[in-house]
Amino acid sequence: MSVLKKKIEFSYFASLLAPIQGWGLLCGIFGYILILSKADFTATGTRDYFMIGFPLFLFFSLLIVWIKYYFGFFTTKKTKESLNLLKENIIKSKLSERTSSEKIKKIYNFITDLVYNTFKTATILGVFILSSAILVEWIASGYNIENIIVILVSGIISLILFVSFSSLFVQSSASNVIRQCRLIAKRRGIKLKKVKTTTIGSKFDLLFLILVLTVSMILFYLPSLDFNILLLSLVGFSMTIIINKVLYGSILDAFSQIQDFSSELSKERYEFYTGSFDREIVILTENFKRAGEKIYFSNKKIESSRKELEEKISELERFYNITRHRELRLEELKNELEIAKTQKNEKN
Amino acid sequence: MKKIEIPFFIRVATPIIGWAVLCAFLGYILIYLRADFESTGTQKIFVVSFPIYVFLIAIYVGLRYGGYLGKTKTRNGSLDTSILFRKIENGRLKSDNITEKEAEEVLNVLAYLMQEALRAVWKHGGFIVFLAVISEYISSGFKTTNLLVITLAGIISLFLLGFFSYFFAQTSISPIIKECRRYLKRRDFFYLTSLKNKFNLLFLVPLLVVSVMLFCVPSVGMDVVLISVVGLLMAIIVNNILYKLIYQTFLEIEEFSKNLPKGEKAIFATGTLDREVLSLGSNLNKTSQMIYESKTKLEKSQKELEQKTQELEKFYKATIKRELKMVGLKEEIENFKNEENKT
Repeated sequence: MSVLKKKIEFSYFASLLAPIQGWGLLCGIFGYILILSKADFTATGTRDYFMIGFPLFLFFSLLIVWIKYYFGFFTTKKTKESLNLLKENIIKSKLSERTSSEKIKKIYNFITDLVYNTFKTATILGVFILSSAILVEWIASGYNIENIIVILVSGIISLILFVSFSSLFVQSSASNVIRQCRLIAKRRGIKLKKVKTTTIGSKFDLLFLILVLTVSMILFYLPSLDFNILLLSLVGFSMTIIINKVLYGSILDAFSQIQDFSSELSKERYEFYTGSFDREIVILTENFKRAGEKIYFSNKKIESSRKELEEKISELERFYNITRHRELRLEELKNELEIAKTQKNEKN
Repeated sequence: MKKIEIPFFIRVATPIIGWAVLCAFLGYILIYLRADFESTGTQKIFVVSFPIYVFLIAIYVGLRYGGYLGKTKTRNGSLDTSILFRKIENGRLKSDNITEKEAEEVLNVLAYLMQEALRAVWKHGGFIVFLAVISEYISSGFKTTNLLVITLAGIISLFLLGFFSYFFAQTSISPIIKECRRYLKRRDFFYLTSLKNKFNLLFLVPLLVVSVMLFCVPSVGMDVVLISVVGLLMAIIVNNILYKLIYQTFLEIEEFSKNLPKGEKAIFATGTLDREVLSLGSNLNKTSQMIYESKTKLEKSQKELEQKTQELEKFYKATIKRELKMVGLKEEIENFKNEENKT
């Protein structure tokens, strides 16, 4: 029981890889269904080849990626080193605080590069699966090209979906460690390399891409298409575009407002107002307002405190000058008294 | 050439009414596709009457909430929506003669209209569906054949209309709300929504579009259903991942900004690669550093001031002591001199 209870611990890289592989599998299934419903396998007699061959290629590709990155086979020395760095320094998605600055730089570079390299790897893998499926179909059907177009079109659709979103999956899973790297680097004063950035706007556009592809596929696979269905799809699309623009436009506006506020904060400005009805934005604006007030009034206080200090210093100087003269006068009086006392004693 | 000024209410109402017309059009196509007008012989009546109902109700709503039909009755008494005409010009508050009370009144009217937009679309949209059902029932000689289709299609359109009209209203009145808040001293904000809900709603539209399409296609094969299910599943996963990441960043910024005024040495770090967030993070860190330095400078300056004040007090005391001693010495010398003169 105790063995069962013991949690199986996956390496950090496996947790980065799993979501992309899951997404790849889903895109593969999507393409598989598309090809099965549109291709004419009865004419070519290749149904069995396709039904077994396609999942095999998919499985084989995913396995290769797993072996390559998880076990470090077929990789360059540099990648192997980076994978070992991840294994040694990241436990349960937490970067060890004792990691040296040099290693932090290397981990950060590797993970941020991975976000963009995923795009390349996903394309290569997708193209490999697609070309294998086409090749098998072509050879098995006796060089018949009847189903090749269907496989190619469906494959390209799945490939677009896989490639467009795979780097977002890595971004999402790697975000925690990237954050920790930046935090430690800032604390230690290490300069990390500049990374290629994405935009929130493009992410919202991608969301719309799935709907366009799904609806287009439904329309493409319907046995008969009449004008009314087309009109319905058109209205549906227009409504989606409008809503997406209104909703994500308002979210993007909120972000740019916060960005403007934050850039004005250091300029001693504290009057921030928002027209937004989003709780998060209103609270943020209020917090910025308070922070702005804090800076503004602190600086005012510093200014008045500095003036007061200057006054006290000049008062002290004045006192010093006066006191110095009085000190001399006191000495004179003491001497005078001493002389008077001596004269009195002599007389007596 | 003089620019034609569009009244503020029309600016606000146009997107909502436009959206309502689009939703009505969707309902119209849905009913037209699925209803069996041949057996009831009511096709012509439906084709003509439905757009007329939509047109008339849209005109009525515009006149009523635009303040053209007098004061609007609310639960808390009557509300004079005509203040929007008096105090707003070219989509901006007339800043030269506006008082805090007037700004509050404008804000209340706009907030009421925004809330009312939601109620109004349910109420008036429901009324259109009701009219369409009744006229179909009567004109078909009390046949119930198409009533279910009209009701269902009406509910789908109403659903889309009701959910999103609120955001259209929010977007349209947002610039004026911003200006009103500038004039107000009170800090309580009302009718706030959550960004999280907006992200969830982003997914609702694809779901509805795909469902409606499947509902309207006469014969749907298993493969089409399967494609739709996988497509929707992918949309759910992507939506969840994307919005979770963006929303999480918002929460991180909110949490950090809460502690900003405390002036503690804090670092904002984010794991995102989005340009907007990275630039925001860098600004926040600059501000945090500035507040921390201001706080440290102030503390140092106040300590120095305290020290100098203490020094001054010490000097002062010492001076008084010395002066008293001098007075004593002077008196003693005087006494000696007097005694000497006597002898």
